[in-house]
Amino acid sequence: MVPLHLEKLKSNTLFAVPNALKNFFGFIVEKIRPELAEVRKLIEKLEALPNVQAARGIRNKNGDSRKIIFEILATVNPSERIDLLTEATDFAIETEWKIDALTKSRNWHLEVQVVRKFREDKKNQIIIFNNDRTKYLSPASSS
Amino acid sequence: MTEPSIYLLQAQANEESAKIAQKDFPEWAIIMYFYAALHLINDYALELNQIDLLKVDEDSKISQHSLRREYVKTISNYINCKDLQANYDFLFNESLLARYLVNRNDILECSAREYYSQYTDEDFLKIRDKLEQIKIRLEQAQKNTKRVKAVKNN
Repeated sequence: MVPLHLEKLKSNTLFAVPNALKNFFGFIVEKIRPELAEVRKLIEKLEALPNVQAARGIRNKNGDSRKIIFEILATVNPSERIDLLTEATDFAIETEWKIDALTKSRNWHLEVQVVRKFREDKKNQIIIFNNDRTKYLSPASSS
Repeated sequence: MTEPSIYLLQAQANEESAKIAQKDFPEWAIIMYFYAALHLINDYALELNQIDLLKVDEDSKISQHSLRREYVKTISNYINCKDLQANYDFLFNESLLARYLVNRNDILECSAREYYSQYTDEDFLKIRDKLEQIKIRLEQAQKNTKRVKAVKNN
């Protein structure tokens, strides 16, 4: 009988299988829902803007699910805020048009807000980051 | 020459009010710049006999502002210029902040008056420039429409 030596099959990375599954399902989901990939690209672009610490998208699970608000975490003076919002709005509209074309719909509405802190998560929201930290908040989760 | 519409007159009046308000009532300047843009859109719709498109049905769930923003997007698509929608959205969102202090705790640390009083002349120029850009795009869209109509009629 050949010994299996299962311990040798273990990856050095903790939770390698769940991560791989997550990436795989993320890949599949983005294939089915191409807008998600565009949303992530937009978040990356927003995070690359000057003075921006982080960015995330918030989409309601119920109701008008074609509306996504992008919160941009930044500490800026009023003058810098105009420039930041101008660039961010341009990026958002560019993505909105791209998603409209991809989904053959003109109902997408992408909005940007410069915030000093991320708003508290509410029930029934999907919080989208530019990586796999995306959270789906169920009605049971605390607001 | 045709008389200017009431919407165009109101847009001009709002822009004038905004310029005067910049110094002492800066948050109202922001609001008036947006309302100048809003009436320019109304004027455009009237000129093109599309003003009914901006009327909200009694049983409709969509707000007047949302309907108008959709219309602005349609014009932007028509002339293939995203900046019309971007500039209008910018002014709309700033006017919301100045009027309702939307999500105040997350965005502003003080009242809208205190916040916008920090705007320099240069900052207000940037805001006015957005209105100017909207005028240019609407003129472009109007010319396009007239050209298309002329071609159809010939």
